Amino acid sequence: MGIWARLRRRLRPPRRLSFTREGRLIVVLSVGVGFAAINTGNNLLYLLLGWLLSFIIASGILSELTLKRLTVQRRPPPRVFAGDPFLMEVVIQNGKENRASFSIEVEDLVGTTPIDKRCYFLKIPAAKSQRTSYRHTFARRGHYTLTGYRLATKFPFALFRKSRDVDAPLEIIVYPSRVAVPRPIPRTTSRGESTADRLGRRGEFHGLRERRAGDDRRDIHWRSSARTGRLLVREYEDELARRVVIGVDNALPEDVRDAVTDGALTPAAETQVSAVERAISVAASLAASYLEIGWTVELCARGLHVAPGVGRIHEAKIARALALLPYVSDEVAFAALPPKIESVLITPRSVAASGRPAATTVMDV
Amino acid sequence: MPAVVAPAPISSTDIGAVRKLEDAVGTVVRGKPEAIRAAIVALLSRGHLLIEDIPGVGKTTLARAIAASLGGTFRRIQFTSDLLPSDIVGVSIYDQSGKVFELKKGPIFANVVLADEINRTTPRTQSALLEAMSENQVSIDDTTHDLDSPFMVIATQNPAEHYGTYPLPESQMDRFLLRVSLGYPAKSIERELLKERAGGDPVARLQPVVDLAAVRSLQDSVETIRVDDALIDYAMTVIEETRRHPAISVGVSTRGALAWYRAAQAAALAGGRDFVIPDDLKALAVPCLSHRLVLAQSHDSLGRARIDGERTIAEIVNRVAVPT
Amino acid sequence: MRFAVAHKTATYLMVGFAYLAMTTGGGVSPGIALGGLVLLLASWWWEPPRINYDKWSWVWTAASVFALAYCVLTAIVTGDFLGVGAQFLTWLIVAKGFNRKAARDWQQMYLLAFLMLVAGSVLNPELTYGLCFLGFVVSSTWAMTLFHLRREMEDNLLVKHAADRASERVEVRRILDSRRIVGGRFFFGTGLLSFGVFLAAAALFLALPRVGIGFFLKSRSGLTLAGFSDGVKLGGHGVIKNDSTVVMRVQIDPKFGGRSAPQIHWRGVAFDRYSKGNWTRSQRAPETKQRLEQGQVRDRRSLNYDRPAISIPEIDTLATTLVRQDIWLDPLDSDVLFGASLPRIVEYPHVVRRRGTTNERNDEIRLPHGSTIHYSVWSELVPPPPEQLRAASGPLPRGYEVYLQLDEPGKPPEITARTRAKALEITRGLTNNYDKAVAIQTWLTTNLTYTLVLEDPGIQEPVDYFLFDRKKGHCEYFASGFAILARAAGIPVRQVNGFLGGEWNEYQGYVAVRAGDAHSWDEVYFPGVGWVTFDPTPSATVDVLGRGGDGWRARLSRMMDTLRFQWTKWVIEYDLASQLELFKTVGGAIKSAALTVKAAVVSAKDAVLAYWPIGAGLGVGLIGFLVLRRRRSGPGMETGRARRTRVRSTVAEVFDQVAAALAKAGVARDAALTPRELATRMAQRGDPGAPQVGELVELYYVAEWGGRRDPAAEVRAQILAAEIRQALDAARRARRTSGATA
Repeated sequence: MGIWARLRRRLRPPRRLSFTREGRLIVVLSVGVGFAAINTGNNLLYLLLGWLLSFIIASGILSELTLKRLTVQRRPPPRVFAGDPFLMEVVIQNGKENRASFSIEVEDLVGTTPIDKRCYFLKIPAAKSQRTSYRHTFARRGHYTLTGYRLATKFPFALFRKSRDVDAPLEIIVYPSRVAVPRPIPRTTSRGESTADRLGRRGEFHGLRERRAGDDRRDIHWRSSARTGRLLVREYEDELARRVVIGVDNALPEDVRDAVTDGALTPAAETQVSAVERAISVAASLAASYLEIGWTVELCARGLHVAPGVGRIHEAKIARALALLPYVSDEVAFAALPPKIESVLITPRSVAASGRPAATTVMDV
Repeated sequence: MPAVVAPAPISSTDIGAVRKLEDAVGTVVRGKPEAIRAAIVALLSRGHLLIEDIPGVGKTTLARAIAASLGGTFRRIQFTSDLLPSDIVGVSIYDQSGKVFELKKGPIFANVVLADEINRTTPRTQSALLEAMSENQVSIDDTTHDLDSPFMVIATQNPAEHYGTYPLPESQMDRFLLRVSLGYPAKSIERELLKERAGGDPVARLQPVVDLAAVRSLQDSVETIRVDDALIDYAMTVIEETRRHPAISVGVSTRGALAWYRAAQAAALAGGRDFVIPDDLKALAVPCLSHRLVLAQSHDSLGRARIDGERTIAEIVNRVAVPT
Repeated sequence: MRFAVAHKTATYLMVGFAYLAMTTGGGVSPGIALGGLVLLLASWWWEPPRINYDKWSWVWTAASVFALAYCVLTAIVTGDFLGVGAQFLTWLIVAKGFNRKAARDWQQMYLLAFLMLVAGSVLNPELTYGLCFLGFVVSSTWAMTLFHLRREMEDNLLVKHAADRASERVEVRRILDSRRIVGGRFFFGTGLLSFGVFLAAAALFLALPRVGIGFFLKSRSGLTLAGFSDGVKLGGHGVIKNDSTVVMRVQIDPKFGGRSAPQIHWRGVAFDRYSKGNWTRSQRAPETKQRLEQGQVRDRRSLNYDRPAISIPEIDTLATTLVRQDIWLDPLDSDVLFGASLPRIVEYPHVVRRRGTTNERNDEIRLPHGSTIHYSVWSELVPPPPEQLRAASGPLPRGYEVYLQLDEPGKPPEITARTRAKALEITRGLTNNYDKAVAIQTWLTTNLTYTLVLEDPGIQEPVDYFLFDRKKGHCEYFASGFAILARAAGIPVRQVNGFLGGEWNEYQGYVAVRAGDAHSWDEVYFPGVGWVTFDPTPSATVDVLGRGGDGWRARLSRMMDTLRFQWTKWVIEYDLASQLELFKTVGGAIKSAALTVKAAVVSAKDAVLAYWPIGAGLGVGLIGFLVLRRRRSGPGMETGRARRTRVRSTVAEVFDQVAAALAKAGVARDAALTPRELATRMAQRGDPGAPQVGELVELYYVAEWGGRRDPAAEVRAQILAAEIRQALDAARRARRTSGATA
């Protein structure tokens, strides 16, 4: 953090105070009573004035005490998708051992502005926690940071609202929106379905590749490994049958990219951007459905390459890469699609871009 | 903080594979789900199984059924008092015609090895087997050879006989992940068996349901099964109890604790989960820990020692509070 | 207690205290006050579901219009805006009590309560205001806190989210009926808070500077003032009531106080002219000779009587020799100031001198005051010795002839011949006025009796009737008789009205003078010496300040009067002078405390310096001990309990609740039993809810040990928990009915 930001944070007042309608009324009453008391000299009015002032002071002290030692945890669901509303769980914990906290509001902050979804807790007993959720939607995929949260209370008399900002960064990756894609029919399916009902047989020798975790030690080609210094294993054609490369074109013209950062999109630019988003969503869904049936998936895009892999971890990796995929100019080179492997290239309709590789299948969405 | 997700390479196909294995073995070994589960757990944990039982209750059948379901090789070693290590491991024979030494691999080069009546052979032979089990390789004439993968030993001991036997000392029993006993089948099951055995050997009819590569991958996956800190604390508490119990003179070692941990992971996978639950640990406590103790009171028979050890572990595990 | 009930109770307490603060003390007519209280209490039960507010709203609107019209008319007719305003407030709070629909209505009740408190500050300066104020402070803290919570709930800020359906609002009724939100601890905590508020309010009250313009309130209308007649009218009939309202409290040097001290005459008004049974102040009577010194804070007046004026330093010296009294005088019909006979110096809070005649004659002191006034008097209590009085001689000062006047010039004489003859007869043979006066006084006390029963003398001259025919009368008759006889004997005399004696309050050391202590007596002038008090009334029952007796009832009433006195002194009459004194006292206390602390520190420093080797050794030893203790406990040892900082998942919490419910239903889980084993055992035994428990356990395992947050699972868990609870309830009911029939 820069020195300016640090200085600003130190100078920023840790407590915020804003008067409610009742609070303003009480202040007006106090002034009125005080005026009357001084004018008439009636001591009982002084007594009332004293009570009004201590009422206000007590309110301030109590609201401060009630905000102490409260911690909030925000727990998003495992996956958040663009355009899908999700429930963000908010758990508040009362660190005080023998005092409950009443009437607490919690708001998430981005920067210094609240998200405008207030969670309200009526009572948090001592040393206990309470939970609630709020519904939110991120319209776009990407990487979001919730910088912190704001605790506020009007306790005890609703004369004013005291709030305290807490820095607690929370990163959320919003994945591309889910789209329905048809279950892919692999083109080279001469062998049938899954391996669980077959014995392990190998096809023709195809070539050497680097060893991955789980590879059989007996497949290691010792000679080549000794020569290159890396463990290489023999690869058989059988395993190639269930492998696919997914490519997606994330290029956008420069003016459109600038419009996105500025936030001012013309309708034409809007269509182009949504086309690219659709392409990315299709890519993500396609990758997920291939991986689910046990295929090996590799991902290529402009300036992005995810090595082939299987399983759930790999699916998370691909989804994350697609979630953070930026728009680039079409001069950025596409990662090379490996030959002899079935490939699907997903291109956004109405976006002209050069340098697209050839692929087995091209989906224009 | 990133979103809470438990990543695991466990796919539904993995879990289905284990289920199929259990079912396949279960068709042949009837009425012994705990024993089958123990065997699967041992297989997935890259461990070995010790069956202490009277003869003729299905130990061989179990071992053969497992091997057949894997599509792997099965070898049986019948231990006698005059068995030599080379009878287990193998030997290189001089071929007169070719003037070379030809390696003849012993029965230990198989996927499932049944070491029958291991307490009837000399300690030297026993140690040859046990060494091979722990190191997964054998050396024949100064060359080391890797054993097959997967590789599991199912050893048996007959508790009743003690005349002319060399019961495994406790320090060697440590090498077995689990110790179970089969016992007589239930009456209804026994009656069915008698009826069915009329027509041939059921094991021969078994077809492989999983392949060896899948098993290997499952074995790798076991290491990634999630174990919560609270469960580790629970395990440590139980282990501490065994070390302090008055009826136990030497408690479970660190190797034993690690074995229990691994076995619980395998049990979770066998149960179709990618995370361990307290029941996994608690259910495996007796099979996994009871043979790793040195009891304070010495027993004259294996059977009684086994019962006493199992009872002590059961008592401990029924006393320690499980995490919630 | 239930939340809604707690809130209603606190609000009604708050309103009740404010209402009592306004209506006690007589500012509002008792009928209306009592009626309003009864209606207010009745409105407690007037609420849904029993009552539908909307159905009755037209009634209340009509009644309010009527009440407003009535109050406006009454106010215009009687001119008593404050009293009518209080009545209207009464109506408003009653109407609000019957219309408590929404949060806004409760808010209006609170505002009305505060307004009643403000009204009460003018209408009710009694101790009751202080007690009601204390109650108001405590109950207002409760009421406002609970109101805030209630309003947040009713604003529907509580929303329950569920993944499978739209977020739904938590049923507000359920929370309002909940007992778990506010418990004893809450009330204790807020009670403590309100006590703190009260203390802070009292401190602010004492500290806020009193820089007021004046000390005059608008005179309170409708308030019954204790009676003190500014004239004497002999005649009439009836019984003189012995009014026991305390009208004056006098703090006097305990030397002259105490329950066995002799009674003191509190001189007030003095009359010089008698005609047809009436004593008045005539225009020819000499005005009070006095000197006025006006100060920033206090004014001082010194009375000179018949002597020449003296300088200010002489006044100051005189004050040190006289007896000082601090008097708190409640407002009476008359604006005269009272003092022990004979008052010489009077000091009171500075007032802007009003224009107009003061009508101070016959050595009276008057000061118009609409509320209790606190002033100081320095008096000559000890009369001159009889020898000096016997030797008095000389001409009368100018204007003092009125004190010899018997008849109206130019009018037929009223005093009868036998009265005059009696006067000469009593004083026959006596040479000086003193002996003559004493003789008259003795004759009156011995030959006539005291009675409170009045009898109309008719057309007969009242004094004549009293002296010869009735021979019974009350103090006014006695005083008049003395004055007439003395004047007939040529002695200058005037009649004085005031109070006699009072009750000594041993708790605070003051004399409580009641309205019933009103008394008449006489003052005789001796040229060259001055005025001397003569009291011809035979002493009634007690002649010491120990009136009232020592029974527990009397003591209790004296204690109550002490409280009322303290309230008047420290709250109602708290002014700049009292404030400065308080600050001086507090400042002095702080300073002396600081000095003591400083002295202690210095002596400690000296001790340390003197024994520094021992001190150093001790210090090193202590440090070493602490270091060693910390080292021994080890660098990595956890000394405290290992607190589990992980937050449990929602499903785990649901499971905890279900486990608690199961335990209550008798299915306890041994600590070494896993939840799944418990579920299996329940299934084997066929316990109610067993299948749901089994499913819940599996969900719980996935959530807690698998670390997976699945909103669908949370929903399912809640459903299962509800089903389990239902099953347990059904089983319990079945057991109960079967147990009942068995």
